[in-house]
Amino acid sequence: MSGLAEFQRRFQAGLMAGDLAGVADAVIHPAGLAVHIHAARAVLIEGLADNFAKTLHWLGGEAFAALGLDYLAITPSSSWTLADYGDDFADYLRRRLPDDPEVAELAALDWALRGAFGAADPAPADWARAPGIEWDDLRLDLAPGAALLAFASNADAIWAAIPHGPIAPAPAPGRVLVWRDGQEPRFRRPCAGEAALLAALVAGGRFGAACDASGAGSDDIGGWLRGWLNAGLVVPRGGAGRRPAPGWSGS
Amino acid sequence: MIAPLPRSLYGLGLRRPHHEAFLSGTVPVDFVEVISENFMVDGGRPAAVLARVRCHHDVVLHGVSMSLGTATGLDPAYLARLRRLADAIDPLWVSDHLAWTGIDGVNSHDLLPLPYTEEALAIVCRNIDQAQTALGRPILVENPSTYLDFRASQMPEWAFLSAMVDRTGCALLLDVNNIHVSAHNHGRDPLAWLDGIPWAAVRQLHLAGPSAGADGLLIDTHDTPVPDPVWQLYAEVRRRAGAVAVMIERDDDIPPLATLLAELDRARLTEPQMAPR
Repeated sequence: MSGLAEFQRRFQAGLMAGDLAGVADAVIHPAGLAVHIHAARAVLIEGLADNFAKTLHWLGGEAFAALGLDYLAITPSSSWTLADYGDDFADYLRRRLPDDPEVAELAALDWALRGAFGAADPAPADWARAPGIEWDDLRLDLAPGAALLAFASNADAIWAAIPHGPIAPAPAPGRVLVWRDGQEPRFRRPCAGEAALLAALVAGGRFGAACDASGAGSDDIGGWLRGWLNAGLVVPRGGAGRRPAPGWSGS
Repeated sequence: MIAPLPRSLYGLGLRRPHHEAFLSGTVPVDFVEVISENFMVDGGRPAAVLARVRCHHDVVLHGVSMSLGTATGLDPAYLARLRRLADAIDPLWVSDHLAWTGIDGVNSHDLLPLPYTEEALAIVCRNIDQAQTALGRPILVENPSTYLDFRASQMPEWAFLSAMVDRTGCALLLDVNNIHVSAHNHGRDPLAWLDGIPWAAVRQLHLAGPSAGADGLLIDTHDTPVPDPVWQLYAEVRRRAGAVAVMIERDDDIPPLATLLAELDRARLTEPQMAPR
């Protein structure tokens, strides 16, 4: 065996290709190679199934596994945790199933909710009560773990109906807002005005200009802003609003 | 080296179906083992659950992605994140496996085997040094279940583990199921393996059950009750080991908590048969 690093690269390449014949001469009983071929695939499929549970339910196990196997053949995991596996699975499904946009959007919603689950806890929006805030010039961003998804279908309604009642996919353009309420990931479809304003802010627009461009009334904007602040949904751009993981206490 | 335990401890792995029970603080265990990577998160429910469980129990951080056998070294970002978790919860110890999971930034999420060569030994020891320095504490290293026997190997697994302990000061987590699985798969005598182990370095034991795979291999699935051969081997281990932290490591097909506690009670019953050291 010529160098462990070189051997590990060959082994890993074979593992990803599903064929370890290239290293069979390095072992006494090659039957054990199949165990690793199987395990490496099974664990990634299980990771996808865990991260995209509603997508799996919608597609069915067989179709999900087939798509998952194709995906993992071109997408190695690069994270220490399977919870991070599949960050572009929704995009992959969009390319593979262009006529079924609800599938990719279900996956995008699964992924966003997963991200919200373990994101940093939102900080109280004390910053918004500080005197002298120049709201017109302020740039806001979504809090860690929050997401604003652009949907063409009613995937959010399909997600909510699984597993109890099947809903037929239908066009339903709009945005879906994902955040965490306490420890529970949530989502809702904001009205068009709120969604447009949030999208403008997420795109980097200043608060005053985004409000003007939205055409919404000040009462509506004030209501939306209060809701965002109460939910810890928005933070000033530049990093405020994130707090460290909760203090741990030992026994 | 991690100091010897004053008495043996008995614990379980923290698994999702049992979170509520552990949060209540009423589960009769001395410690809880968690998969480190599941809690290397920024916040939310996982962090809150572990913080609350830690209020009731000592915790062991058991990792699956340190990849101690990777020839190009460990991921500093992984170690830094694990250090943050360890500093936050003050675990009994941090452990991972004698295995590699990937190279060049890829993670197979499978515990891949190493040839037991002098080169691999030097690499593993260098990596353990890196981990212990980054974590600011000695670690425990677990013997793996293996399905491959490398032609290049120059020493038996027990000799590799023994040299690793000597060179790094790490301690050992012996997975009794893995001893059984590897001995079965390679046609070796598990008692001869036990005879080569540096028992003064053993701090923790895992008990679990394997499944039958193709070609007569046993697979380390951890989804079945602890079988009789593992219990028999466990009795031999307890005859040799000092005070250790013993746990039932069930990873799949998770049964009711009472079932696991019954297995843990059976593990406790073996203690009086220990020979004085």
